[in-house]
Parts: sequence; structure tokens; C-alpha cells
Amino acid sequence: MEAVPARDWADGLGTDALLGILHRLDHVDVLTAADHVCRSWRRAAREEPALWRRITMRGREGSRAGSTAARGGARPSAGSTPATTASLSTSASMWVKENYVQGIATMHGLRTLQLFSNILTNTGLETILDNCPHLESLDIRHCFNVDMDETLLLKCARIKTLRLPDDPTDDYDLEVQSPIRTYVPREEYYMCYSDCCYNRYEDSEDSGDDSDFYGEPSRYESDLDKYEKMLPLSMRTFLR
Amino acid sequence: MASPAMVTLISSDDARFEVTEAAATMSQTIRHMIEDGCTDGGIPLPNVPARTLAKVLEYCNKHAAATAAESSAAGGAAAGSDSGSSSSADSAGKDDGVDLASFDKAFVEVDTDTLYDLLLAANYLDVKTLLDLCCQKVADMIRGKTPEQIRQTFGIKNDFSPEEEEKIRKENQWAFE
Repeated sequence: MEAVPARDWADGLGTDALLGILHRLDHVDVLTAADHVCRSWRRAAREEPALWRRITMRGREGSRAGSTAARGGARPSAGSTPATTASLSTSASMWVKENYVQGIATMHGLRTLQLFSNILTNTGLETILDNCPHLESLDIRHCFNVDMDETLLLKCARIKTLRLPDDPTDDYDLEVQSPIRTYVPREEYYMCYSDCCYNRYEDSEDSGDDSDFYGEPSRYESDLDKYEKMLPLSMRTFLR
Repeated sequence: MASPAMVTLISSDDARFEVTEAAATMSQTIRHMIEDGCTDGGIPLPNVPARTLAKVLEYCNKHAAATAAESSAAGGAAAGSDSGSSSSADSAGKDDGVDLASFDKAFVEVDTDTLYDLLLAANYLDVKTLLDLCCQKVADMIRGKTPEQIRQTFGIKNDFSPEEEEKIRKENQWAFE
């Protein structure tokens, strides 16, 4: 009979195997769960720069956890090999406008950035472009708050691969499991969005987060349920 | 057809396993030992008990056989008399009655202790595809769980001090609002 030592999932796995596991998790799962399991896991999650080299939070940045994940890429201990790829797609970033832009802007080594259907604004994009000098690939499709004016075009001149808000999304490389694949953008949402919200949003650019807290109706049919729970009655008309 | 080269592996508890070199060398660790000529009298694997080694070898045999079937199917494709549309992967799958993907899926449907042993063995033996498989399985078990549920699943003790707990709680207060 072989003597089997107790399995120690906390300390026995070794850093490599533990990271092999963490690498397969969404960053939100790492930050809100795996990170809080025990000291060993927390250490692995926090101190491994490679884990933060590519940040993916598809459809999850609508939570504040998402903004932490975005900031996670900027954690000081990861400074030696900072995130070089960040991929965020969202139809519901309501809390995180300032936070994630700042988070991304501190990833000075960032080379690839995908912000799909994000509430990113011109100001936010300028901040990112100014702070991420190594950015080579930028994909901001469906970020309809961005108006590609001259300033932005000039700042984007150095970007090798540039995908703009109105570019076709046929080749959007969603993972199989991502729910966004099944979302069908509906033209009337764009219209409604620009008519009712876009101007308002722009007007309140400098007045802090509160004003645009509910200012971003989803452009995706599948989000309707979620929004109905969150939006005050007066705002629901924007969704229909 | 010449009989394939065999090697003997010796587990930590002195059990001997005779396997094809093709299966054994799925482990980079063993491959290096063979390349270094350390195979006389069997290859000792002091970190892997028999129970785990048997399981790892089940995986390696299966995958090595599938690889062999695949290459022979590809080689004999021109002379093949059955429906020529079947891909080499299909033929390999048919030979074994079950395709590799479902074999892999079933292979890691094990209790957490066995999974832990496999993970450690795959890591030590450096069988990359098996390590990937195990890590993916563990990640799947973690996904969507709360920290407490994760601890329960894997029998991990919460070793944070009350102060650290408080810090974490504050850090993430909003995440669960």
C-alpha cells in the first residue's frame, strides 16, 4: 500500500502548475475568487507578470470587478513585464469609464488593445494613445462615442492595425463561449442611442460619473433583461 | 512490421511498467533521460507512484497510438479502399472506438485527489498536453465559484489573518454589491 501524502492544493502544486491554471481563467475570476482563496494563490495571482500580459474581460467589465481587472494590469509588481495585450468588449460599462481608461493608460508597454462596443470617448482614447506609446494595434469597433476627428486621426497615425467604430465586425474574433457572439446589433438602437443619449453624454463630459451612470443603453438585444432591472422607468424608452 | 522499441519505467514504489518508446517519450523528462542513455535497467521515476504512473501511461498510450494511427492512415490514404473522404483523425478515432477529445474529457473526470496527482505527475514528467488538460479541468472547476466554494472543492485552508480578510473584503466590497 503506497503512502499517499495529503494533497495540498495551496502549496503543493508549485507556481508553474498553479499559473497554468490561473492562465486559463478570466481575469475577473482571478481577481474576485482565485485571488482570495489562500495566501499561495493570492501570491501567484498577484506576483506573476505573465498572467497580466494579456487581459481579457469580455462582457465582464460592466461590473466594478472589471475595472479592477483593468487596473490589475497596472499593478506595480507586474511592472517589469507589463500587459502588452488587452481585450475588453462590453455593452454595459457603466461604472468604469474613468477607471479602466486610467488602468489602460498605465500599461505603458501595451501593444494590442481591443475595446469592442465600449463607452470609450474621444478624451479617453486620447489618454490611452498618449500613454501607450508602443500601441501597434487598436480595435475600437462599435465604440460609437468616439468621433474620429483630426486630433485622433493624427494620434492614430502610428498605429499599424487600426479598426474604427464603423468598421465591419465580420472577423471579430470572439471566443466560442462568449455570449456576445449571439447578440444581434440592431440599427434602431444606434439611432436611438445617438438621438437620445449621445449628445447628452457629450454635454456632461466633465461633470463626473454620476450623470452618465445610466446614460449608456445597451445596443444589444440580449441585454434588455438586465437593463430593465437596472434602468429607471424613464430611461427604458431608450431601449425600445 | 518490426516490434516497437520498449522502455521500462519504475514508479516511486518500485512497480515496473513496460511501454513503447513512442508513449514514454510523450514525457519530455523521459525523452531526455533516454537521449542521455540513462535507460539501463529501467528508468526510475521517484516522484510518481504506481497508481498515478499507470494513469499517465494510459493517457500516453492512447495518444501515442492515435498519433501512430494518424500517420499510418495518412501514409496509406492513397491506397485506401474505403470512403476516401474520412480524414486521418477520423480513422484514428474509429480504430479506437472513441475519439481523442472524448477520451480526454472522460480521462479527467476523476476525484480531486487523482486530478491533483495527475497534475503533479504531468508537470514533473513534462507531458505538455496532459498538463494542459489537467490545468483546464481545474480552471473549469474554479470558474464561477466563490473563494469559499473553491476552498471547499479543493480542501484548501483559509490561511488569511483577520486583518488580511478585512483588507480583501474592503478591496472587493463593490464586486458583490
